[in-house]
Amino acid sequence: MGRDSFEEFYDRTRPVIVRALALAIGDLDVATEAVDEAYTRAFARWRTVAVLDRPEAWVYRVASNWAVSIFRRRRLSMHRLYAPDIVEMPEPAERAVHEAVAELDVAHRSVVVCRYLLGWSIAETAAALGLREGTVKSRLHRASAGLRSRLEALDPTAAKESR
Amino acid sequence: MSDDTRFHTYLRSRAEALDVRPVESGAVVARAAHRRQRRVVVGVVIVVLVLAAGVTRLAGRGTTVEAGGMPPAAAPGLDWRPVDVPSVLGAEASTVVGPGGTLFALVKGGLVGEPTDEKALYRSADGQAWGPLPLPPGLTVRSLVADADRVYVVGTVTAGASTEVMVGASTDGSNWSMTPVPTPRASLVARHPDMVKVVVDTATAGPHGLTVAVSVRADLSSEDLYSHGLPPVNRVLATPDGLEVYGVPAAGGAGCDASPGTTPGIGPSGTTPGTTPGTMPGAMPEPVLCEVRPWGDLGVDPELRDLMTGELHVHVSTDGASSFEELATLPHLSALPSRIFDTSSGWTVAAGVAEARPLGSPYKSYEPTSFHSPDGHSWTNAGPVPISYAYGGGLLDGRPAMAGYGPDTLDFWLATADATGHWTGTAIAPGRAGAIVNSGTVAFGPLGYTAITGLVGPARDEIDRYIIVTSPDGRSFHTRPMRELVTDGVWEAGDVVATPDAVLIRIWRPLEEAGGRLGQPKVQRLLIGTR
Repeated sequence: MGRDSFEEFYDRTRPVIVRALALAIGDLDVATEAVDEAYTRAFARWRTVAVLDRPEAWVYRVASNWAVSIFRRRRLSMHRLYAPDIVEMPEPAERAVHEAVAELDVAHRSVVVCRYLLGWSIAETAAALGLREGTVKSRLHRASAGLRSRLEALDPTAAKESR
Repeated sequence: MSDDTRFHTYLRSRAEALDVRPVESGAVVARAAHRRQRRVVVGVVIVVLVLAAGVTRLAGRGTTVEAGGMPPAAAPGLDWRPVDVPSVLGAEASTVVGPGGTLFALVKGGLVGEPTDEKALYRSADGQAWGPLPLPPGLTVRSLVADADRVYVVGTVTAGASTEVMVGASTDGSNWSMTPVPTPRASLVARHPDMVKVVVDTATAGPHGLTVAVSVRADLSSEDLYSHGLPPVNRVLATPDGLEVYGVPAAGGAGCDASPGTTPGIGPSGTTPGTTPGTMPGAMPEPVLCEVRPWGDLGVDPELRDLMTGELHVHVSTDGASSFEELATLPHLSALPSRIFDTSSGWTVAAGVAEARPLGSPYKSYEPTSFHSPDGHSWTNAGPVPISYAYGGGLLDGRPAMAGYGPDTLDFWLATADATGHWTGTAIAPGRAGAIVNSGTVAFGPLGYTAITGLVGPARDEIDRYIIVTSPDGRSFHTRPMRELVTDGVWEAGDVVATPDAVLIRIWRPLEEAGGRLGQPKVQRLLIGTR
């Protein structure tokens, strides 16, 4: 595949991958840096990356690894998530979802983001993050458990419905 | 509304609220091209320098990594037999062979389906049935090591602001004898507990005894950086002279701009702050060194400056972990995860391999480097390590060995070091097949090297993706699709363990969800490979 294909791929996937990684690591600047770095590497070896079933999963993984290394090098915490104004989330259930996502560490949050934002299957998420499928299921389960406990505190009926 | 829908709705809402600044694809292409060109230039410069200086050692050693492609030689494979076993161990297990061939496993989470950060220790005679063992109370275990006489747990004990490196030794894992490893830079650690951190970096057992490498590093907090006008968005690098700050060339081409919000390469098309005149709209300028902030200007105590780039302290015990002697201090290494190998020809430290390095990063990134010492006291730089991200390490045919991603490549590589710490490597699973599953799927042992490599992409189930790669010596290889050994339906691959006379590959049926919780791996199987 040639450069045109890379450009199409880049235009189609970059905004989505930047947003996904930003939500996973909690830092839009670093996520943008990391994703641009990953696309640069993807272009440098596009012949190999293009034939992957999900080149964007490769980009996400490279970007995620790069971002983690940057965080480590700068000794920054990755356990952050955007904290929108409370007025942006008037519904208690929405705040419960926010808290459930925010309490996850980056490894767990990445799984949630890949599965529910990017819409990747369990297998695709596992392949993208270098995990076993069982690990992906386990991490999704933990996220759901956190959400459920919050919903139960708000409204037992809502918690039941969420199952 | 289901959990799935709630998460999807929330994440989509949050994602749409993020303002992603566009960068044209041409900018990425330009940066890649520039980087490629610079590599060529740098390569030419290096070759010229090497030739001019007559440094044949560098020329011969630093460039002997082999090109990708499967090795031509074919080795005989192992004989495999499946054995259904009771399940005990969790997914993330580190297994070593102890006295009498007993297996010890340090497991994160203990049981599959109940993930936890707690680590638990298990023992098994054959890898099929495991029983729990106590860990020394208060010890945060970093490493599990064993030799023919003892099993060791190496970690830290924290009391208040102080952290002490401790080693527990046991003949069977039931009772532990605890010995402290002398804390490097103890007085500095005591005076600056918030800045100076002590971490067990790596440990190994070999012919010289038990070796424990402890890293000590001082660091500035984010608050410190902020107070000196260096918010964390800046790219910074600690050096012996001070903190290097990287940014983008300032508008007009004079100086550079390292202020917040000018993270290189993310500005909107045509309006990127600091874009060098003459570059294409939206082009991502290479970050440049803006300034070096001397440690004194950043308020770093003079006695801490050597520690800003870290130190690796190598300790050895020759009496079964009853006492430790510090052999050497390797400067400027503690920020980098290392692996240490003890062989009859001395110690080899592979530094900076466990973290995926930013390939072609525009600012300084650490190149995986080998250090070797025949006696533990005098150390030499033995050249580069051709593994950028290690998935496993051990001894192969008596030599230090690691497997993982190769340099600047998607290929999966196997690399070994000679008696002087010089590494050579070769691709054993090219391209997309190099997408190995996880770190537990590589093992080194008396029968040689074994790895499970996996293909990325849809498949009927995980087993269809896996290929078992074995090698008795690192020079000849045998590959076998796992599906040939597992024909009865859907399984998930676990880890690989090397015992004195066999290789054990653990697989289990996909976990079932019941009552909102993942179940235990009710059906678990070992593929036992023997020669």
